[in-house]
Amino acid sequence: MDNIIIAENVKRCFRLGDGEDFYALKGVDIDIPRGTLTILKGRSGSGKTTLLNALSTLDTPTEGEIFFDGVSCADMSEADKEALRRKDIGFVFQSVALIPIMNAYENVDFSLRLAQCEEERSSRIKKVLSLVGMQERMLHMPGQMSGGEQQRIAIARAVAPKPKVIFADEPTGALDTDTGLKCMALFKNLITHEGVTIVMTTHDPNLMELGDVIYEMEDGEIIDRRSNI
Amino acid sequence: MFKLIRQKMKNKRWLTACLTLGMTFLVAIFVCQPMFEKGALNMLLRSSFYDYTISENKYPAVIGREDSKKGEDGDLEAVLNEIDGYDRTWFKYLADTDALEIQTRVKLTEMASTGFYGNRTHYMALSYMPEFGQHITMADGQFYDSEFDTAEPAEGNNEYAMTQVMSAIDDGCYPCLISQKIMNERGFVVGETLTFDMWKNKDGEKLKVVVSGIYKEKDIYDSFWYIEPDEFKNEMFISREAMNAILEEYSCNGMSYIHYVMLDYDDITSNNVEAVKDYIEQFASIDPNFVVTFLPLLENYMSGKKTIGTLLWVLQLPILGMVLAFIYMVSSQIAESEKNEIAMQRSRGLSRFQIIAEYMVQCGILALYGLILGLPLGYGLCKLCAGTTDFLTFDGGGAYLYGFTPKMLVFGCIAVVLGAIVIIIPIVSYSKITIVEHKNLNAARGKALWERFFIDIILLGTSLYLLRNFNIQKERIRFDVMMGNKMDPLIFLDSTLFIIGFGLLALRLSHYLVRLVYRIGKKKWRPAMYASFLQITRTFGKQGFISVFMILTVAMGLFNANTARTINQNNEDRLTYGDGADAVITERWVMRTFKDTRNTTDYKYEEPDYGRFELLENSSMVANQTRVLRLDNTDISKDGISNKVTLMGIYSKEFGETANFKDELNKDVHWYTYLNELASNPDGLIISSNLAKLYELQIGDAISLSRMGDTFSFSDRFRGSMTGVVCAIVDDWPGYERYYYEEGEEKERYLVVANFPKVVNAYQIAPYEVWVRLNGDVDIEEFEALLDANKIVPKDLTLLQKDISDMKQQPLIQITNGMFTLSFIIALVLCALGFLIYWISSIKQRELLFGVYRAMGLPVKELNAMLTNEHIFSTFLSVLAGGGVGMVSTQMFVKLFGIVYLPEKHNLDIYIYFQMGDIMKLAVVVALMIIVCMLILRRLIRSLNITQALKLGEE
Repeated sequence: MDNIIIAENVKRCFRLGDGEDFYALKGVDIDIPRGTLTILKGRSGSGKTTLLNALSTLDTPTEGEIFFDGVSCADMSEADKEALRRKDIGFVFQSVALIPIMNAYENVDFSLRLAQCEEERSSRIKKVLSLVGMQERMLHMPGQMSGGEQQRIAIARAVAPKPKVIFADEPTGALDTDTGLKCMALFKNLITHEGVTIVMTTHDPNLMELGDVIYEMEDGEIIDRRSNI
Repeated sequence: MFKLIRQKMKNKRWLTACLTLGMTFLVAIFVCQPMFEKGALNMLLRSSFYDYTISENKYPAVIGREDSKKGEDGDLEAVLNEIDGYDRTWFKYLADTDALEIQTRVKLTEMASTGFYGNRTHYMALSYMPEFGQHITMADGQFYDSEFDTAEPAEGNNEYAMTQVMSAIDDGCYPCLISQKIMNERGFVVGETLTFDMWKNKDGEKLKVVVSGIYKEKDIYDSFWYIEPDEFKNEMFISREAMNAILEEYSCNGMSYIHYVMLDYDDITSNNVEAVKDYIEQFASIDPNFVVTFLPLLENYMSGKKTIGTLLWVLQLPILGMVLAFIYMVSSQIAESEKNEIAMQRSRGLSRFQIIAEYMVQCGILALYGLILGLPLGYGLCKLCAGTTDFLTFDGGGAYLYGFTPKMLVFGCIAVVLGAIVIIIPIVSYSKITIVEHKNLNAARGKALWERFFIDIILLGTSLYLLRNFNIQKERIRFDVMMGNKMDPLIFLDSTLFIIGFGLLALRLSHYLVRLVYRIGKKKWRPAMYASFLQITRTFGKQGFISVFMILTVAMGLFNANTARTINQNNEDRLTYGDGADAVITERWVMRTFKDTRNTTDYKYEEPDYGRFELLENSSMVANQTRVLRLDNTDISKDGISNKVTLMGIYSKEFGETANFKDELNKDVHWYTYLNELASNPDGLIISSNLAKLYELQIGDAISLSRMGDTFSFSDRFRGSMTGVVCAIVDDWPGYERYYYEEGEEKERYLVVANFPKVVNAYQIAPYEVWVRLNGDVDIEEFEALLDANKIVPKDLTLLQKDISDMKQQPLIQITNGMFTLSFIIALVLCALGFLIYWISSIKQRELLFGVYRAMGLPVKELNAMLTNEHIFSTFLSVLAGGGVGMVSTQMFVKLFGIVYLPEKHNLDIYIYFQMGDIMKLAVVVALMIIVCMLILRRLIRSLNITQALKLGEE
């Protein structure tokens, strides 16, 4: 199968306050198949977010190699990584992290401007907002929306520039079960309609079945890989 | 709890430090008030006494008694005892105020009557002054009395005259001394005898006195000569023994006495002035013969005190408002950063009172720091600003009058209470809400209060309405100030209202401008620009506070600087114009009387050697000098309308080289044009335009001037007339001040300028002034030494440099310069700190947002561009707006302020001055502030860790 991301023996070491080294990732090998919903599951502190940060070029591994669409991240300059994040990567953070000074429309518009989107931005914004069911509220500010609504806007923002991969760190963490399930349905819908690959972390066992590939992590290592494809 | 508070304060050490600084400044400004007031009042007293000395040429603080005794009461010893008795009574009471030192006592007793000398009758007085002999030298002759031992006989005594004196004494005449004035004006000489017909002894012999000597003062600056020798126009001084003998032997019908006590006016201070005034008023009310010279000075002081008190508050109010706003801003930042914590505490059941109490304890600690640091800072700043001689210029001149006063502690405590209230206000509003309400509130944040209720327009409208009214009532305000009535503080506060109103309006407009710029390029903006424009427009309410702060700081800084410069420079201009030259010297001329051809007594002046003045040019200090004959009692008459004019005789070329005069006066016709007209026409006259208007005179018209005698005794003597042709009409002329005030009434002076020889030909030579142009600033003492070396003894010496420095020591000018300087320094410090705090804490608060931006792929340089854009459209626009507001308010209000400081009408209109240096100082501070801020922000952004920043959102 065609993998959009391959990680080989990825280690991430943090220097602790007492001078000791702590390995958050202890030689992880992972591949993310293109056009799938890949879930990284595990308990809190198992290294999910650290791995996600490394895969999304937000963080640089201490050892090992990550290939994004066939290109080694180690060979990329900081500017290349920034360009990659602008154009080929979308983010949905646990904290939602919509830009509070921008309304829903502008939040999406901002990501399109970052990606230097050539096509008519307005129609694209409306399309993705309707995709997440938020077209009616596109002029609302983040503070005027519920957590679930904000998360849908964040997803629309991530998907708008047509990235190759969307990384979502605990996207349902702050949502109730029902809203969480709706969010997952939305991810599935995006994969179908936009052809995007989604990598998400979660510790919610109810969502496991919805993933195409599920990696389980413990103490910085992959302990299980399951595929529903 | 204390541990928790200490930890909180430590965590927010920068904001806490700024709050401490705000409190310290607040205390400093508050404690400056009583210290400045006390010092300014002492200075007001000093300058009142000093001005009196200069204008009246008399010692200023004198109390005393003038009375006369008749018949048998006229015993010298009894009179002297009575004088001492009064003296003791006064000082018994005055001792209650604070011990007033006495400089000198002057006692004069005299008997007056007409006496005969030759074939003329003279009204003369036989006078006795204790200690007279110790203060005189003999110009001619000598005095025969043990008490006058110190008065040495004059050198080169005329032996014949002395023989006459001796023989007259042998004949029973009493020897006496006369002044040079009497000698010159009455023609008495040593050895002459004067007979008093009215005073006879029991044998019917008339009282005779012989002039045994001519005295002159040993030292003209000796306070013994409160009554100057020249004022003794009738007095013939005799010894105590002679006075006693005459009173015993001759049928004198009474005697009068004068007793003056010169108080050391340094002892009259703002502490005891009211008590001194009360006692002196009581003495004056119960004793009609009590004499006091300085009661009007004390009354002026009392009205000046009101003005100074008001002015100090009014000048302090804007800076006080700014410091309070600064404290509020910092406190709001703290409250904002702790809002989650406060909301959590509320949700966990803590009462509002408990939360507020926790912050009150913090306030208490800050108040303590504020007091400990603010008191010495206030003292130091007050001392520094008390020594200002100009805006932002210090020399420490009058600072010695400013000292600690217990009131400062009270004011310091009031300041910390006020500061604590302002700190608590934002906490109180945050303590109202729980975490749920807090989140809802965040969503609903909108426009700032002032923007929603159009406070800017209301303030601006009110201030313009007040300004219009003040401008209509200019004349009344001018009159009120001159009469010493209480000043309307609204005149000053109006400008503050205007600055705030206009500043807010400018901010509103700049906001519209940012929106407009954003809309123009909305589709094309790069992500960084897009985000930054949205940041500016969407956080306008929050950011508005720092923008208002910036605008007000720059505007008030500029306005204060321009006001101070304008007041100082206009005062200098008026002094320069009024004095006419850098130095004006008048010598004492001897007036000689003589019999003319019709055997009537006439007089003429002896001109001192002018060559001594010409030699001054040899010194590097002096550039030019010229003679200027100024005669005030000259009359012009036409069609039955007569008026006094000031006639000025000049040498046009020298005058042009020596006098100070602004080229742009006289409607931009250079004044040399008029001097050339005069030089080419020996009979030409330059007249003032008000004179031309009064008599409908035009160039080419002939006018005639007549003149009477100089002194009281010759005032009815016609001195001559002069006819000339009007060759120029001027509005302004060096030394010609058109307006003067007499008993509160405004009057006009008329001027005629003629060639010096023409005036002398018409009226004979008279005491003239010598005008001197100096080569730049010179040391006054060195210049006086130069005059001394050239044997020039000035009777009056006007030095422009000294006048300007005296002007700057006037309390009203001094406190204005001092307070404006103080405000300017504090405003700059606060502005710089306020700006840095705002930006650094704003970046700290946006850390998560910047993390998101970076995660989304926004490069660091784009983030920097984003902040630069925010600086340009918020900081830079605010600074520009502040500059604009400062300059507009200067144009609109400074002339109105001018009326308060320069109420008298003058040839020179009030001209608005500003110095590029002040603008540069402000610009450098603002630029430094922005650069430092940008450097700090860049560093913060460079060190930003994306994954760490994103974690913030999860907390």
